[in-house]
Amino acid sequence: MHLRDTPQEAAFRRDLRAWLAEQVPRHRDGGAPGDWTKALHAAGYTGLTWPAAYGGRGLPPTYQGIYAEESALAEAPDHSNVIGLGMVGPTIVSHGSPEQQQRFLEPILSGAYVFCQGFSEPDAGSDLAAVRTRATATADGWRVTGEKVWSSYAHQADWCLLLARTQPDSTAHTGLTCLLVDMRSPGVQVLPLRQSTGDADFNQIVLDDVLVPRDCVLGPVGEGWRIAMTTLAHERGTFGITLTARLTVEFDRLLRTVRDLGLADDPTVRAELAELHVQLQALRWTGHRTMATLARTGKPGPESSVLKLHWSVTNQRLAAFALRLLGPAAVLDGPDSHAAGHWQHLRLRSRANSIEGGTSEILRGIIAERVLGLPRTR
Amino acid sequence: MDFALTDDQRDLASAAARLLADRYPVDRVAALAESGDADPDGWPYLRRQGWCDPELPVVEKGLLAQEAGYALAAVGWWSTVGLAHPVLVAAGRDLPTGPLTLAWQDDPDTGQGTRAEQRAGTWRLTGRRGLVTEAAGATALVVAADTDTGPALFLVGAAADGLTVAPQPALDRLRGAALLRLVDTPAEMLVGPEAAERVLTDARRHAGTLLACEAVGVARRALDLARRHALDRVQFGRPIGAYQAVAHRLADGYVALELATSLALRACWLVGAGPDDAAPDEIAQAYAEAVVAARQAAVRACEDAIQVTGGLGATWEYPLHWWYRRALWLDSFDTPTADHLATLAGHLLHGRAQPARPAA
Repeated sequence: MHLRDTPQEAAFRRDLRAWLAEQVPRHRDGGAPGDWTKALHAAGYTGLTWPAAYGGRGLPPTYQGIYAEESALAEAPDHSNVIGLGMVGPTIVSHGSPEQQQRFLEPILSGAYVFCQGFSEPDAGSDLAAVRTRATATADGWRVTGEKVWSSYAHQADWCLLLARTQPDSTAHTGLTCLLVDMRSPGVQVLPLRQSTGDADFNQIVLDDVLVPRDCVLGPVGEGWRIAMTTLAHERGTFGITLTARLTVEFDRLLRTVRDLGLADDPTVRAELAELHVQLQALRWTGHRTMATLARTGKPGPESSVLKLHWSVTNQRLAAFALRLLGPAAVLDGPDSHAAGHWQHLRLRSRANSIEGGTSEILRGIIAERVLGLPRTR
Repeated sequence: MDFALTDDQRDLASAAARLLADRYPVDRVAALAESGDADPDGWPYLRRQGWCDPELPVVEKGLLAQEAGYALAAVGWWSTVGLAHPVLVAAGRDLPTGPLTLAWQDDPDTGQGTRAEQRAGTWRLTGRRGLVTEAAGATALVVAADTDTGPALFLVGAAADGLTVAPQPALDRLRGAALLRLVDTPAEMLVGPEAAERVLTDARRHAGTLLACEAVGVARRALDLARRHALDRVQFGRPIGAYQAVAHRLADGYVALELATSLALRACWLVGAGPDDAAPDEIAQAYAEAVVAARQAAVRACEDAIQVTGGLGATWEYPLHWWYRRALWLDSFDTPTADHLATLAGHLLHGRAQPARPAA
């Protein structure tokens, strides 16, 4: 057990931090989607843990953890290919054919192929196995018709990793297949989903008789559930570290708000700040513990569900506390309000934290069944 | 960074768990608690097992403390190794073979403390010390007393003249409180006023870090008891663990336990790393964070377990309340949670905060 960076990790962190300090301000305002990915790629910060044979650097997961932490702390722009790099790429490494690896991996790293993910549907949210999007075999491959929701980056994406039902009379986990869908195929339509904040971070994807060639099936036909679970496991890898580092940024902003509002000497404010800080530190060090487990065993331990679950609780608690600090002025929004409406926005946005990426109810169920060994609750 | 237990550390923890499970089955814990006695042969046994080895790093001691909390081992190990040994080590003394404790708190009833005077080359202590842990079996006591030039730390034999150790009825019968009365009691100075405050602070922090680990062990045991019951107890035709209201409560308890474990282990590592590898502020904050999280996790796990075990959990016969009593003791002993939070707020708001950002 050692709680400090190794000299090599410290050097990596130092170089990365210097690079981010120089590059982030240039990219934060404006720039075309994908520019940031290209800059990261040119600097060698994509595919850190990917095998060298696929264009990666073959580094241990701790380096991906340092990258996740530092880029979130630096408030780096959203990485437009976060799904390609973090989820789809590793899935292709594990389950793709040599031709698919040849075709997709390098462009994912360079940002030439931006990916989105098409898993959730209007009737398949927490119950992902209820997928209805239908793929029918044809002479050339598959014809796909259906609707996907809550897809991030779909409006910028070149490709989509799609979960579809290839066996017409199948139910639940069987008869599903993962498909690599070219987003420019005829019949693909992307529509923004507007959230309660007014932003549109997610999209709806409508597929109407879209042709997917046979060589774009990822993994065996009918094994889509297993492949999709690999993808979601990768999502949990370092995402907890990213979330915690973003929470650190919010906490620093909260400290500024407390000082700006002249509340730094209020004992109830101080006590709540200290409580939040304890939760933040607990998340941070549990993230490091998860990372060490990942580095040793190659897969994230059960702590990773803990991170997502408790992060959502803490982010919501922080957002609620921050808005309460504003008092009656919390009713304003936009440029006339404190911090230009930042806390109003976070309060609204944070409600989705316990829903997106696995609802808290699903995560509690995972912990209850897989960690505590309790019976299935449904 | 590699924040994971080594194979040796895992082996140490599982060996300790097996040993304590054999020696302290639940009915023995309950019997010892009923009688209010420590296990008379427990001390030499743990000593032979290497639990008092002065070379043990703090993380390893933390793992033993976790298991001691899990088993509710009725031995004065924590007071000896956690509180008293650091003072003797700081004083450059050899460690005695018997159990020890450290008395530094005033008598909460009278507010009275202890004075030290030197006469004819011998130090003599007069006054009181309250809330002394595990004093009953101790062969010697480290006692804080005020000299004319400031507080100092002394060694007092359990059989010294003028010393009375009066056990007091305690919430946690397995970690009793005692009131010391000292009348002209001969004592040996261990640490003089120039260093006593620092040594006492360090000893309390060392012991408090081990208590955070003990709290993690208490939380884990309470969760295990609740989990067992949720699997066995059938109502409406199903094990109650199949109901989400029960399962999700236990899942949340597991979350609190995992988070507290991270902070407790981190605090052990930093306390063990010492000032060369860790800044004093970082150590102080990590300690406060660990204590706050671990106390909350232990109390919560016990209260959740009482809820899940239903009427059973509220009886005297069901052993859970012994762990709950320990959790409540842990929640109250030494520095109050509000003071730990105040310390953290001071660091956060007055520019002395340990950055949540890692050093580069």
